Amino acid sequence: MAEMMTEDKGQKQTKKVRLSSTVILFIFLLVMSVSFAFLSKDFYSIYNITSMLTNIAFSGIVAGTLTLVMIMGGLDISIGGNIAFTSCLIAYIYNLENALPIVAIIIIGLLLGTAIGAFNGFIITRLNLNPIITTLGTMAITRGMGYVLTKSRSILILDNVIGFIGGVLLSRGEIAKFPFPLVLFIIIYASLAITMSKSKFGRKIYCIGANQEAAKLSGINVNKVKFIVYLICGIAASLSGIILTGQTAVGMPQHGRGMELDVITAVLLGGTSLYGGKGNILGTLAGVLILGVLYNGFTMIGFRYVHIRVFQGVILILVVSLYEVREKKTY
Amino acid sequence: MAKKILEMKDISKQFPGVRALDKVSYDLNEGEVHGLLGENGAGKSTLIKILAGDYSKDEGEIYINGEKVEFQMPSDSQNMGIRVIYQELNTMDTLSVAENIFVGNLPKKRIGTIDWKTLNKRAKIVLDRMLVKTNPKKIVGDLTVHEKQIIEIAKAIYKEANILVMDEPTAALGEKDIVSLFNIIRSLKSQGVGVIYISHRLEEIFQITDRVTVLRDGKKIGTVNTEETDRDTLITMMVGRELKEMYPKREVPIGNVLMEVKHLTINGILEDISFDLKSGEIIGVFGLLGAGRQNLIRALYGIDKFDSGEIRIDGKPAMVDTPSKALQNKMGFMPIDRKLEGLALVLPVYSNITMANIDNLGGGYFINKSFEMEHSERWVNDVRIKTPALTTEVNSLSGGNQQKIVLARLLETGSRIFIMNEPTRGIDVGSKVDIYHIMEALCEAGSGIIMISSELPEILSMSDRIIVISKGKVTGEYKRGEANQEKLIHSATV
Repeated sequence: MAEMMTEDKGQKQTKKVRLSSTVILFIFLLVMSVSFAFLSKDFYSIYNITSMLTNIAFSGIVAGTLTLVMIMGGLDISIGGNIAFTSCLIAYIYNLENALPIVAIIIIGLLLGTAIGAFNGFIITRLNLNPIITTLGTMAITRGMGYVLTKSRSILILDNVIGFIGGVLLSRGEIAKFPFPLVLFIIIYASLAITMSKSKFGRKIYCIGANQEAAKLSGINVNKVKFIVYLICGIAASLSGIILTGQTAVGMPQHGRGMELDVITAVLLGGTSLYGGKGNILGTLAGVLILGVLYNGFTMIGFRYVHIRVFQGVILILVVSLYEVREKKTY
Repeated sequence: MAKKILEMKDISKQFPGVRALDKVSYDLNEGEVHGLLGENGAGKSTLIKILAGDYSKDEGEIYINGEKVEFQMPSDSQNMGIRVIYQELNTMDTLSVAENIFVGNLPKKRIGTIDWKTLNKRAKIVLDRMLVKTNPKKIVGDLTVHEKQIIEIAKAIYKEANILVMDEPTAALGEKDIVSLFNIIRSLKSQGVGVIYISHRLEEIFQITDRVTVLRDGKKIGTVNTEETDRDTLITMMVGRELKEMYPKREVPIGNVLMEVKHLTINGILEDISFDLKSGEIIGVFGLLGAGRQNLIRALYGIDKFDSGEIRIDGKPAMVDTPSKALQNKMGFMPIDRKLEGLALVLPVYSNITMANIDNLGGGYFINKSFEMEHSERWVNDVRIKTPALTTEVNSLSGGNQQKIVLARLLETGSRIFIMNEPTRGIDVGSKVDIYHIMEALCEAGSGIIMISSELPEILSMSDRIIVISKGKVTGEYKRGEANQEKLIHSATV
C-alpha cells in the first residue's frame, strides 16, 4: 500500500513535469517579451515583430524537423552546409545563360536537400555509421561544394518569386513585405506537432528513440523510419536555404554558418533529450521563440551580438540543468 | 572454535519503494565456505554490494577480525582484504594472463618499462598456488570461461585477500571445470581464506559449503550447518512455499503442430537442430552459456540469419527473416534483458503495450487513441500489471510489472507461438507465479511456448518437453517427468 502511494505521487509529478516544462518555457518567453516591450519602444512594433518572426521562421523550420531526428536518438549537423549548398546552387543556375524557369530552379533546390537527406539516411541506416560522424562529413562536403560551385564568391539573385519565399517583394524598386516564411513555419509546425503526438509514424519515432532494439523486435522497420526522418530534415534544410537566399538576395557559401549549433540549442531548450525518446514540437517552438526574442530584444536595447551569445550559452545550461534536476526528483 | 574474520550485524538497506535488506546478519570464519542462498531479488547481491563498498548501508555494523569498519567506497573494502568475483567477468581480453593478474601493479624496470620476466615469474607463482597450469603469457581472450574465472581469482588472491566472494561462479561452467573450481576453493580454504559462495544450485551448496544462510525478500530466514540439512528444507526456506504452489502446471491437451524446425544450421554455431512445437505445449530449452540457445531463438524470430534448414508454420514453409515477418506469422518474442531489448523505459505503459502493434491502432495515418487505451487497459487488468496509470513511465515500475508489460505486448499482437527467453529472470516470486499462470492460460487457449530457462526448478516444473543444447547440437530430449537436474546438467555438458 505504502509502495502504491509513493508510486502514485511519482506519477502525478511526472505528468506535471511534462506539462509544466513547456508551460514554464512559454511563461518565460512571455516575461521576456513584456520586459523588452517596456525597455524598448521599437520592440513592440508590428514591423519589428513581423521581421523577427520571419527571421525565426528560417531557422525554426529546421529546428522542427531536427526535433524529430533528436527524439529518434539521432543528430543532423549537416543543416548549415545543406543551406549553403542549396543557396549557391539555385543562385548559380539562376545566373546561367538560358536559365531554367524559376519554379524549376526551386524544385532543383529542394531536390538537392532531398538528396543530401537521403545520403545521410542511407549512410546511417545501411552502413550503420554514427549520425554525428556521418553528418559532420556531409556538413563539410556540402559547404565545400558551395565554395567550389561559386568559386568562393557571392552570387546575386534578384527574383520576385524567390524574394517572396524569403518574405521580400521586389517590385518597381519598392520593397514590400509579406511574411511568407512565417506562413510556411506555421504550416510545418502544425503538421509536425500532429505527426508526433497523434500519428503512427510519430509513435514509431518515439519508440526508436527510447529503445531501438525493442523497436526492432517489435517489428518496427527501424531503418525505413530513420531514413525518412533524415530525408525530411534534408528537405527542410534546403527549404530554409531557399528562404535565406530570398531574404538576402544572394547565394553564398557562407550562408547558415554555425547555425546547426543554434538550432540544436533551440531543440534542447525545448526539452528534447539528447538520448532520444523524449521531447515534443511545442517545446521546440518555445525554444525557437525564446532564442529569437532574446537576440531581437537585446539588440533593440543596445547589446551587441557577441554579448547575446554569452546569454544564449548561459540560458541553455541553466534550462537543461533544470530539466535534469526535475527528472531526478521524479524518481 | 574457528576465528571469526567477518561479521555483518543487522544490515538494512532501503531502495525507493523496496526494503532490499531488513536486519540481515551474516558471518564468516577463517577457512570456511559459507553459502548464501536465495531467489533472485532475495537480497543476496545487495548484501554483497554493501560488503564490497558499492552500496552504503542504512543500518547495521560490519566487523572485520573483530574490528568495526565503515566502507565509503570499493577501495576501502579491498584494503581490508575483501575481493568479489562477479558473474560477469571483468577480464581485459586483449592482454596476457600475467598482465591481467597484476594490472595496476605491474613490476617495472628502473627506466620505467615493464619488467616482463619478473611479471611472468610472479604470475606463475600465483597460478601454482591454485594448482593451475595456465601459461602466464597467453592472451586472455583465447581462454575458456573457466580459465578466465581462474584469472579473476588469481587477481583477487595475489594481494593477500582473506575474504573471497564468488557470485554464481558455476553458472557458465561444465562439469569438469566445476570440479577444478572446487579444488581451487578447497586449496584456498586450507590456506585460511574465507569464501562467501553464492549460488542457487543446491547440489553445489551441499558439495562445497560448510554452512548456508538463506535470504528471502530481504530477510534472513536462517543459517544452518550444511551437514545437518537437506534439499527440501533449503527449498522451503528459499521459496517460502511448497514447489507445487510455485509452479501452477496444469494438464493441457496437446494439439496439432504449430511450428516445425527442420535441420536448422548456422555454420560454426548451430548444427542440425530439429524439433516441433504443438499447440498447448511448453518446450523448455536448456543449456549452458554459449551453447547456442540464444542463437537458436534469434534465428527462429528472424533477428539473425541461418545458413540452412527450414521453418514451417501451420504446415507451410515460412520465410521468417525479420521480426516483422515473425510477427505476421503470429510469433511473439520475449527478450532476455527487458531493459536492453524489451522496454522503451521513458515511454508510458500504454505505448509499451501497443509497441508491436502500432500499425493496427487505427485505419490510416493516425492512432486511434481511445482504441489504444481500451486495449492497454484490458491487458493491464488481465495480466495484473500494478501501475498507477496507463500514462506512467515504465521506468518507475518494478521488475515484475515491467516483465508483465513485455508479455502484454505479445498478447496484444495476438501471437500463438511464444518465444520466451528467461521469462522470470530477476523478478519477485508473486510476479513469477502470475507469469506462470498466464503461460498456462495461453496453452489452454491453443498457443505453444518455447522457453529458455537457466533455472532448473522452473524448466523442470513448467515444461512439457525439454530440449538440451550443448555446443550447438541437441544433446538430450526429455518428456515431462523423465528429466531431473542431474540428467539436464549431464546432457548440457556433453
